[in-house]
Amino acid sequence: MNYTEFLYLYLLDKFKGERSIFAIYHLLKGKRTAQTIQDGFLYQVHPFFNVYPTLDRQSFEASISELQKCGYINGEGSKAVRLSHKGELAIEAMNDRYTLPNGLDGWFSGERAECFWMRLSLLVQTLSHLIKHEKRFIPIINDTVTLRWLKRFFRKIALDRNELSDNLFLELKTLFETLPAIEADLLTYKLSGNGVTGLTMAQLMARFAIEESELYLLFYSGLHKIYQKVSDQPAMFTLLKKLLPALQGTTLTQSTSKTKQLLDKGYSLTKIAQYRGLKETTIQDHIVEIAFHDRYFPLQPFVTEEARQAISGALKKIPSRRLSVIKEALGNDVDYFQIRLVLTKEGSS
Amino acid sequence: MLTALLNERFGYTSFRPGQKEVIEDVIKGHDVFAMLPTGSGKSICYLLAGYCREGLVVIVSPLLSLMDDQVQNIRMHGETRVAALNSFLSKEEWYEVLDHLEQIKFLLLSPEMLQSHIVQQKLRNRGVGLFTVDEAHCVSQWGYEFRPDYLKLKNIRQYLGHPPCLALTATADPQVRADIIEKLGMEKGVQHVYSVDRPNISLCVEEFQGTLQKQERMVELALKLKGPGIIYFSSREWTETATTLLQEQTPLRVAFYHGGMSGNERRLIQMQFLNDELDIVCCTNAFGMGINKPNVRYVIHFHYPKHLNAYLQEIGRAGRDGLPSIALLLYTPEDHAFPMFFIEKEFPTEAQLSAVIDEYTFKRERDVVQLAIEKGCSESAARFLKEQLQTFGDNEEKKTIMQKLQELITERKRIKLNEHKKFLQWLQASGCRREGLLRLFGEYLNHEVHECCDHCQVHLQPYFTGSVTTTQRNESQANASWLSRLEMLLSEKVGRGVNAEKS
Repeated sequence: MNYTEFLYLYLLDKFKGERSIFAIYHLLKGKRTAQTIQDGFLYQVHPFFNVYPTLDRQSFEASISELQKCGYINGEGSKAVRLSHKGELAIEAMNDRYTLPNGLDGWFSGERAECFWMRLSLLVQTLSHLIKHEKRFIPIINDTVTLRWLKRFFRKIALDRNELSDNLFLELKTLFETLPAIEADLLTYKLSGNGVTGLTMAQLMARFAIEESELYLLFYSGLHKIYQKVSDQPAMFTLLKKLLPALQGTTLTQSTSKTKQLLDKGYSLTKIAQYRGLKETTIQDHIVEIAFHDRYFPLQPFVTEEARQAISGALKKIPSRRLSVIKEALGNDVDYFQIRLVLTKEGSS
Repeated sequence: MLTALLNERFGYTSFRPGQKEVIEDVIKGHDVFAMLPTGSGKSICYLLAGYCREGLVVIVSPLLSLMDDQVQNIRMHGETRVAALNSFLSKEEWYEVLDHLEQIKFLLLSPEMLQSHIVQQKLRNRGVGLFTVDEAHCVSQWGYEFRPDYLKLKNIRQYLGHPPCLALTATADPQVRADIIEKLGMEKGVQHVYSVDRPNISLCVEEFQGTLQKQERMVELALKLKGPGIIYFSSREWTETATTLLQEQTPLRVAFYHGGMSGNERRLIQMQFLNDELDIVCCTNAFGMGINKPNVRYVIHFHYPKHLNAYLQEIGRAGRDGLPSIALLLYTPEDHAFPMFFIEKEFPTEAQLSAVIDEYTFKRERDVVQLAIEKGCSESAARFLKEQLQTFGDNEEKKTIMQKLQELITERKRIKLNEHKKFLQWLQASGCRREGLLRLFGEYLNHEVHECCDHCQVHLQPYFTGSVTTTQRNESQANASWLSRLEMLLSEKVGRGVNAEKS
């Protein structure tokens, strides 16, 4: 079994045979649909959101049918595939050989970490040239938004280029020292500068002799970790914190953003529904979406502490992740809305 | 005075042959047709001439993938007033460019974009000082890359107030040249035609019985030849296979490059190659345009292209520094089928054609390219159909369209197959290769070329070298940990120092 198949087996196990194989495919490719997002939280796999963006359907299906052929998974076609006994044993056995990196935070950090990375790549490349008095080079990042950001950055910063690059070096060194060597290696080999160009994914695979799936997971694990660290301890990274994108992402749908604005002004759910002329269930969907995006979103206005504990307890006891099964176990005191809300907080401690 | 400007803007101390003459005539306001050999810095012509003329410089370029590179290159010269208009842009980005034309000096455009009335109007209001047609051979239907949209350029230039026109191409035979001048309406203009010959590139052709022997020879050459080098293949799969093969059997630093990679990854390979971090790039014809690396020592064709124009362009990437370089074409008898196969694929089959026309006439709002691909067309066949179907009016009968397009396809295929036939004849001819090549472009070889071709006399020995230095470099790099990598990037004292690419 290779690493990719191990990864799929692990995720299939998480989905408990209640989803089609394409739930995995969409998760790894970061498909932004309500289904994929909610599944991510239901089955606690949201850290894997969009961590293998170049995965192609053909090779995905080939790996799955390989797993089927080896008897690791049961199930007809693509629907409700689950691990066989042999598969469960295999995943145990493989745990010694393969490990999934521990820094992945695809859902919450993914997009902002990507932006942070683009800025970092461009800044490193620029400073690397400037300290060697090279003014002409082709920017590694072609995106006009990031290019404009760099211009603003240099206009505002008071340090000269040597101080800047020294500080950047020290901060990056501090960060990379906390990472497993392989993750730090991958990140630095992806950066470009004067006389040293970053490697492509294919080149990294060859140099470090790892599969594409593992490469992506390790890279993003490292990236999400350094992004987290800089966000959590901005006082320690006075230069890198300037590379963090503004917290307010544009990932919310337009209608949800409007709901959020009203919510922030203190309107109640019912009031918002009246005001906007929408059904309450629609506003509920919006609130769940907001909670999905903000791990610090407070639940108290919608779920009492008692109900929250009851739901949490039920989620731990009940093996199934079908909302209807969970709801049934909890009786009439809680509704689907509350269960979905509590889900957004599970396991994200 | 021009030389001073050249130095100030681009850091070069002298012009390459032809540049100065072309620029001077453009500044005077003449229409100029210029055929300059590959690697002679055609972009310098419109950039420098543009600085000496009032108004916007419009550059019509057929290669969407190349436009980004061109913009980057211009930016690299410190010119930020540059933008590109093509179908890759979103509506917002599109308007962002059009609404700020006053702040732009150089505008790259696809010919399709120029058809838009809004674009034409905005350009007219801005005032165009120079109308540049890059890859001007696309105007000619005798050419191998005919683009119907190019035929409309004459009228558009008229609408824009008839600014002087600079038509640039690297390779066009006399028939195509005359056609370009007529179709762009520049009969009264000046012509600057320079030889397509690159005397510092030796031409060699080797025939093999089978692919295996050819592969072995490629590995042998890669080991012996002084790099850096480029090896061309006909398909993406082949570039990857050959890269693995060369990595296994040589100590060289080899990477592949093809159109299936993301823009970001392609840029990395380009930069590694420019920085001498790679010895060999195995690539399809997607590689090379817009890349100006002076010290490429050899170009090998593992598969040869569809026509001699492309061949000239591709080998022209060697020896831009003027030092001796070599072009080696390796073929087996089976290879002759490749170009024909690709030519067939460039056009829809009869069945595909009728399927597309059937649905097209009723559902105008559908994207033709997508429709054609659904019907099984290749990408280039789909683009061909889109361009062609636009030329028909609403009330044209399907039968007529079908018939006209079939005739056109037959004719286009005939031209392309004929180009391929010329290539075959050149491969199999017994005379001097250089002379044969030049004759096809209406030129005569009137000077003696040292180490000319395998039919005259070429000694491969001078192009060979030991590969010890590369091996050593390779090993020292392989051991770099993240910390030393970080030092290479951000420490003033560490690193490989001055960029090799200063001129």
